[in-house]
Amino acid sequence: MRVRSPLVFVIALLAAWALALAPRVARAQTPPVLSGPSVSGIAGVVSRLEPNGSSADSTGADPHPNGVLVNAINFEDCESDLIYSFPLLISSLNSGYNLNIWAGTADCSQLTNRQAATAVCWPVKVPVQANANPYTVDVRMRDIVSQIFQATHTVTYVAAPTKASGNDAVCQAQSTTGATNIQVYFFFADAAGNAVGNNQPYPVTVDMRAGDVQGSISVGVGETLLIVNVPPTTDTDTQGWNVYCDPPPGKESVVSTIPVDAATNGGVCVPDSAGTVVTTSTDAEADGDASDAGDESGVAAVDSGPAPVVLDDAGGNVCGVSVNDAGIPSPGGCSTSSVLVPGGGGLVTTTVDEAGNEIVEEGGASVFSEEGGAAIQGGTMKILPSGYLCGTGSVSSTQINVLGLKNGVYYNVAVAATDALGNVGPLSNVPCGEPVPVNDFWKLYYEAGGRAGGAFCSAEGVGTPAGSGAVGALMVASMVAIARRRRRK
Amino acid sequence: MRSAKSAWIGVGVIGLAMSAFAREARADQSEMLETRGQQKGRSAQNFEIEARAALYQPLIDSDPSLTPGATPYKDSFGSSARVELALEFDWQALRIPHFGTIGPGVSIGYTSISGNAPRVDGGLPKSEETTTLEILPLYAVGVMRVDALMRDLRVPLVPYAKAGLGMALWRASNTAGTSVSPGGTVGRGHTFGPQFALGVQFALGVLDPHAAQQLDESTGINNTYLFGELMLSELTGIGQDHPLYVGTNTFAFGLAFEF
Repeated sequence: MRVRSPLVFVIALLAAWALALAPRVARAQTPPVLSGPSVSGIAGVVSRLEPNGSSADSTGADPHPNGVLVNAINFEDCESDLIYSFPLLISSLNSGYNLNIWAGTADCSQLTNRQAATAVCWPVKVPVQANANPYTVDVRMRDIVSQIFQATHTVTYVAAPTKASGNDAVCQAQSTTGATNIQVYFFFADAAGNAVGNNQPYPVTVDMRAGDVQGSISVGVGETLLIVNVPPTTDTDTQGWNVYCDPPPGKESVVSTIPVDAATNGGVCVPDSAGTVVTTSTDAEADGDASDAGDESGVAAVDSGPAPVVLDDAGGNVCGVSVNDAGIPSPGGCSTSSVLVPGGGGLVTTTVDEAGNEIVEEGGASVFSEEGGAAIQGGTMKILPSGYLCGTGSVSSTQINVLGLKNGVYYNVAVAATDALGNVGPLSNVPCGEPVPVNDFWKLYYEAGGRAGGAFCSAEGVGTPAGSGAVGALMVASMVAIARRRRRK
Repeated sequence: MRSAKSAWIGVGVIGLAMSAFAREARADQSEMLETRGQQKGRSAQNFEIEARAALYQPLIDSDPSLTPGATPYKDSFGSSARVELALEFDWQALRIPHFGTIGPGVSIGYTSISGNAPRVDGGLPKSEETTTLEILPLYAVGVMRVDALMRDLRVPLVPYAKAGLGMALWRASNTAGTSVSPGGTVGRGHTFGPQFALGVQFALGVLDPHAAQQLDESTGINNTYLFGELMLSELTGIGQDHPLYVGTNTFAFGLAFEF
């Protein structure tokens, strides 16, 4: 064959070289699977366990994960130090290889992703020798999330602090709102760390931080209700609002101090013979407050003034001095709640650096600095007692009504943002409000002698005698007749 | 040649006769269309829809069963009227040539009146609770519309009158939900009463007859009106022992479409 020009020759040469190289490049991108045992799948359901090994997904008083997906880790899961239990399907069992479990944002079976200089994965468990098929391996969620928000990763396994240690730094490490998707990889590796056989990834969504209440809330009063005014949020992670009340509705008479009957029972206050601790109101007599006149027997006094309530046992021994119905004894009505603390764990100050980024300081130390995204203003995440939840609202709500309260009782109120994974963010400021009787139209109408009402089409309702029902029926019949006549035409 | 001339005359006579017959037929057809409510060159006309707005102030405080001098409505909501929005559908069932139409009509409306529910003790902070009265006025009326002025005399005004039975569903509520009286009566009910209206419509087609014609051809809407009426909604409870006087006497305005 005669070559017509040098250019055609060069192009042909390049094409031949490219064709020869292509398989080699492909091989480099997908290295050969080394023979050895494989993790070929997950047998059945991945379960979630409490640190003591009991199921965390049971429908108990405090079920996990609060209705969110199993393959998602939220703050409560981390705080509770939950454990994933993976039933792995193993093929070609071989004691010469250990089962490795790593987490990361890339394929952790690739050695380069597990090497110190370039690591994007981190070990979540010491390599184990799988000796059965299926083989069940437990992995702590704290280990999975331990390095997720770190810029560089440690490639030797270091166990995250346990719940018992009281150190929840790994659960508080998220500095922006929103979810992060990672994968937990199960694979066998040889002594040099090279993965053998097939690996099994398990996707996990991690979000351990709900947003902040962006601004201050305020509380308006109404009859047996409080109206909580919530500032709008720009955080797209926020899905709604939780409102917390102290005291919670229906628990206004709960005594916040543990009564002590040292005189008769060695420091333990015992119920009286009827099985209940007797509460005695002395408030009406003590301060002559007329509002006490309507107090029910056996129920602590409710007024705006100090209302000491003495608890005693069957023998009349004083168990301890409590506070009024609201658990708030101060004359001004409001006092600081020991349960609802702004910012979750304590007051946090927020400053802005020269670049305009927020720097959140807690206890004088800089916690984090964010650029863009949903930066967190401050506060720490905290699991709040669900018993204090007294209302919820959608993310678009700017007013949330807390109903079922008692007039004359002072309530501390706080709001926290919630997200899609069930996280509850740091608490807002904690204003106080006292429901008071109001005059609504219907009350004024009845006080003026009006007697209408009783619901529509309610035969037994006030103002709905049979005569009006007949007129209504006549009206409907007329309309039906008109319609039928028109149809005939 | 003569026969040809006769033939032409014959054709002319026949043509004239046919023309006369056609003219007569058109006159008959026009009369027939008129009886059906259909004007020449226009689509059939049988119905009317009204979109209405009215200033609404219920006559609750005029209830004679209230304590003399008591004004619970005014005390709760003030003395300014609120807006009621409503739709009315009329069937022009019977057309009387050179007079107008008579037929039934039904309407549904809605108004909501809100105010602040003040603290009983008048103290501070002020209550943020709201008190609300919602009213859903309904009525079924006979409607007489005199459109002969517009059809026969080209005066673009159509006076009309309505009379019938009205009923309003209502609900008193506050921030917590439906109000309940101290005695436990739920703040929800209905009130019957007579319904009257007198009004006049102004045909907008006179402003642009060509556009009106096009509107008819493309949508079947014969006439579009602006209207104003005096509405008397005497909802004082027919056959009811304890009605809430939620009716009102007011002026209503709106747009009406005949089709």
